[in-house]
Order: sequence, then C-alpha cells, then structure tokens
Amino acid sequence: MTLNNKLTMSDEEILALKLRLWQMEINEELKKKRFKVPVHLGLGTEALVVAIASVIHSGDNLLLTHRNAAYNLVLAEDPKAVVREYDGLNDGLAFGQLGSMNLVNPKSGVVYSSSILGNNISVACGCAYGHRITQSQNFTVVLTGDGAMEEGSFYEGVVFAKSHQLPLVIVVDNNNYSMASTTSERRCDIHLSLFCKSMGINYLLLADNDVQSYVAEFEVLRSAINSSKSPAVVEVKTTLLNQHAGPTPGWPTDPMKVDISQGLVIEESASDPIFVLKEKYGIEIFSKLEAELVSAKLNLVFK
Amino acid sequence: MSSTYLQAMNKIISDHVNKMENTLVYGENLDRGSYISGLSKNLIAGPTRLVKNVGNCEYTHCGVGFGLMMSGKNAVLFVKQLDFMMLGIDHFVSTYGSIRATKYQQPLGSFTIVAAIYDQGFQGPQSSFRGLGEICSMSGVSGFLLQELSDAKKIVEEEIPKPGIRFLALSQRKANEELDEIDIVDAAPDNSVIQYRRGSDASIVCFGHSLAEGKSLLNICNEKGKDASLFSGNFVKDAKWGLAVHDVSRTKKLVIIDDTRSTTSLAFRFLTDVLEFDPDVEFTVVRDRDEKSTAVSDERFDVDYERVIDWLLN
Repeated sequence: MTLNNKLTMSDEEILALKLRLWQMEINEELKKKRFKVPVHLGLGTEALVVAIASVIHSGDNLLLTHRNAAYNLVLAEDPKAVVREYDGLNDGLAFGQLGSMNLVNPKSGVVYSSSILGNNISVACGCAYGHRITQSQNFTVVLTGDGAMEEGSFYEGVVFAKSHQLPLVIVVDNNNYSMASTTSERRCDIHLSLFCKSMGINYLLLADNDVQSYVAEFEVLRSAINSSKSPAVVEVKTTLLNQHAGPTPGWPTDPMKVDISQGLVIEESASDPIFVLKEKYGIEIFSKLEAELVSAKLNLVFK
Repeated sequence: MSSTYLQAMNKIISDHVNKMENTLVYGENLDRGSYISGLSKNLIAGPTRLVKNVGNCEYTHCGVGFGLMMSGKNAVLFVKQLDFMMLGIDHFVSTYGSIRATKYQQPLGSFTIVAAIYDQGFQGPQSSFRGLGEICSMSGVSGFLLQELSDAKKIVEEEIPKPGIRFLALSQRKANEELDEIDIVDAAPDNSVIQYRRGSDASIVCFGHSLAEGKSLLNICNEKGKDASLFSGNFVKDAKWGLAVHDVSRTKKLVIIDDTRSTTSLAFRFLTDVLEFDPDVEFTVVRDRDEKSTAVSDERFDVDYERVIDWLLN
C-alpha cells in the first residue's frame, strides 16, 4: 500500500498500523468477554513486533511468552486463525489446542510460547544449538521481559548461550511492569548493559519506537549473529497501552478507554509507536491511511 | 574379563550414542575427571554429534534438550544423580505439556536423560532421591530402569531413537556388582514390563531397581520346588502391560517387590489393574519402608525372603 505523496510508508510500517488495528479489534471483543482464554495483547509493542517478524526467515526459530498475540497476528498467514484459536475452534491457528498463552505456529517459525517467566530461554538455547549442530546460518530469537529477568533461569540461559557461542538473540521487552508492580516496586535496578558487558555479550538498547530503525537494527543483528559466535541481548523499552492484559475479567483497574472508534493512536506520545508514525508522516497522510484501514477492519480479523 | 554393572551399562549406552547423528551429548564433567563415575566414558564426537562439557545449570540443561527435540535434533543428557532433575521439573511438566499439544512441521527429535538413581545414602539425603516414578507420573515422561545386560540393550536400542523424551535410570547401588546374564522371555510393546522367566506357581513383579531381589526370590522358590514368572516394570504412561496382568491371572499368586519408597508407586497402579482384571488373585507386597532414617547409611533394601516363601508355600 502506498500513498500518493512524496513520503511512502514502508511495508513494515503499514504492517504496524494493521497490527494496531487488529489488536484494537480484539480489544473490543475482550470488552464483550468473548474469549474464555486470557488474551495478552501487545498494544504499544508494534514497532518491536514488526521488526522481529521481518527478520524471521525459513528455518529460524522464534520463542515467545504469554504475550504472544501481536507476534502471532503478524506472522500467521491468516490473522483470523488467531482469533479462531481464541474461540477454541478446530480450524484455529493451533487447531484449538493451545488457546492464547502458549500459542505457537511452527510453520511461521514460532515454535514455542511459554507463560512461565524465564522458561523459554533455555529452550531457545536448545533451538540455537540445533543450528550449530547442522552449521546452518539460521538463528533463534527469544522474547522475555523485565519480570522474567528476575528469574534464575534468565541468568542460567544467558550464561549457557554465551558459553556455547549460540546464534541466539535474547529480546527483553522492558515495559516496567510485572502485572501490577513496577520494576522499582519489586526489585533493585538491573543494569542489563553492564550485565552483558561482564560476559562479553553484545547489548543493544531500542527506545524510540520507530518501526524502520528497529527493522534496520534487527537486520544488522541477524546478519552478524552467526559470524560473531556470541548471543546478543536487545533491551526494548515499551509501554503497554492497555495495562497487563486488557479488559480481563477480575482485573480491577483495567482501563476501558482504548476504543477503536477513537482511531489507531492510543497515546499522543513517543510511547506509542503509532503516534511516532503519525508524527513521521504528518496528519494528512496518516489519517488517510488510517481511515482506509479502519474502514476495512471487519475483513481483517473477524468471522 | 567380566565387567561391572556400570561398565556394562556405559558400553551399551556409548556404543549406541556414538552412532547417533544431529545430536548434542552433554553433561557436567562428562568428558573429564571421573567421567561421571564412569557413566559417560567412551563418548565420541562426530561431524553432527557434539560432546560437550556444560556448566552447573540443570534447569537449563533440561530446557536445552527440549529445544533440540522440537528442532528435530537429538539430545542425550548425562546426569550424575536423579535429584538434579528436580530442578528441571517445570520443563518436564509445562514445556513437555505444551510440546505434546503442538503439531510441529517436522518430527520431534529424541531427548534422553541418562541418570543414576542414588539408591544408597552414603552421600547424604539429597543424593538418595529415588522418585523417578513421581517425576514420570506428574509429567507423563517415560522412565526405564536399566537392570541387566539384556533389558539395557533392548531399551537403549528401542527407546533412544523414538521421538520425544525419556529417562534411562541406572542403580548406584549396583555400580560395582558383576552382572550375571538373564535372557528376556517377552516384553510389552511399550517396554512397560519385561519378562525374564515364565513359571506356573506365582508371578514376581519387580518395581524400581529390585530385579536382583526378584531373581534371588526366584532362586529360593526353585530350591523349594516352586516355579515362578519374573517381571520388571517401567514407568510408562498408560502402560500396555497386559502381558504381566494375564500372567498373574494365570498363576493367581502375585509377589510385588518395590524398592522405590514411593507412596504413589507404580506398583500400586499395577496391583489395581491386576485386581480389576481378576479379583481372585492373591498378593503380597515387599516394600522398602519409607520411614527409614535420612541419616547417612547404606539404605540397604532388605527383603524378608522367608516370609514371602512361607506365604507362597501356604
């Protein structure tokens, strides 16, 4: 999709917009309590999600957390299959067997999703070891977060990956929250850059929510990971724009303010990657594309 | 020159592993020092077979095996003692649960954990954990006990190549004992029970590493003019052990020998299946009592053969 203007959004940027739309559509269904499975949306993580999806090639592995909805929406051949999975239907993405928090799609490289903090890093080490055994040029990406960093398994996994020179990128989605607790409310600071430096691991910080620069950074990582003979850690500062899991039953402080009728931008700040796109391309271009996408929304996700 | 139990098991396992491809063979100190008390000697790397000494992070070792398995590669993890695997229980239960519910594009690889069960307590209570059955029960992972040359060869050759995960468990208590060969008469298709003798007066079914005690009982029976069938059980989910159940129903007398010290022993599950099939079966159970002290000791498994023989004769 291109715009009749000097500026043209990249495919990845348009995908980020679509992803925001799909997630907002699902959010509307969450408000109606449509799903029995708890869906953890990634409203606010679109730049990261699209960047990772853009560098996962055939033979690569992507290991996710319970907050896997955005990744599966982007990587599935048909995003509707994700929603059908949440509905428990046998034509869902995982045949109605995995629901939301463990949803995978091996066909697209998503081989494992774990709802247990820190559990997936060692599994990712095994996947990355598989590349080493066959000396392939594939790599493995594992998502984790600022909460999972507190688990001993995080430390073990990073040390193991470095010790065995595994082609593994560990992405720390740092949204500052573990459910209702902020980082400072539950633990001391962990300086991830110093932690990585102590082991000679490449560390990268991403924080500006710009889709194109994130894509470029991950492409560089991917091309260098096998020759570097070292894993890499990428810390990405994100803001969850709809708290822990959206309007989940039993969650007392869920904001109901996120509303698809208000447009795709949720927060007018650099915390929102869609607002960053709006700023980058200007309101005229952005609004035209936004209107185009929103008008077609019912064709994107829902039955 | 005859070999000890541990030497024989090492040979059977290493001969098989050294033929595997697309495989990571790993463990703490597996290629140096005592070679995990001799368990991991003679392992040879190949073009697609890596043999790696790894750090002290047992939880991660388990996750690595699952990662290789879901990538279609193979993993063989050598572990000095079973209690280390308590640290991996999250992977056995949760990770394996997710894997079983997933339809992968390619066949799963094979993940084998070779662990010694420290069924003696000279190293203290943490090293006398015998709960392989509990780990297998809560996770659905199979566990096979390597007892004799014949069953070890059969299990290693048949089970390691299968997609998925399993434990192969050795007995520390028997490490330096010499093995006397006993042939296999029959076995369940899933190796949940292996039969070593077929008799007419009773059925002796052994759980844990108690086959040696079962053999001793069988010898005493023979001396008293009685003949008995002899089986050993393994931890397999939904075990297809009709072979043993039917044998017990034929002899009508069942002796269970169980050294697992488990309150949820597989032996009880077997007994339930037997009585459900044939309520007329008489049975007696020889258990290693779990009220033993956790102080340092040999934790010897004492069997009151006289009591069992009296029960059989009457």
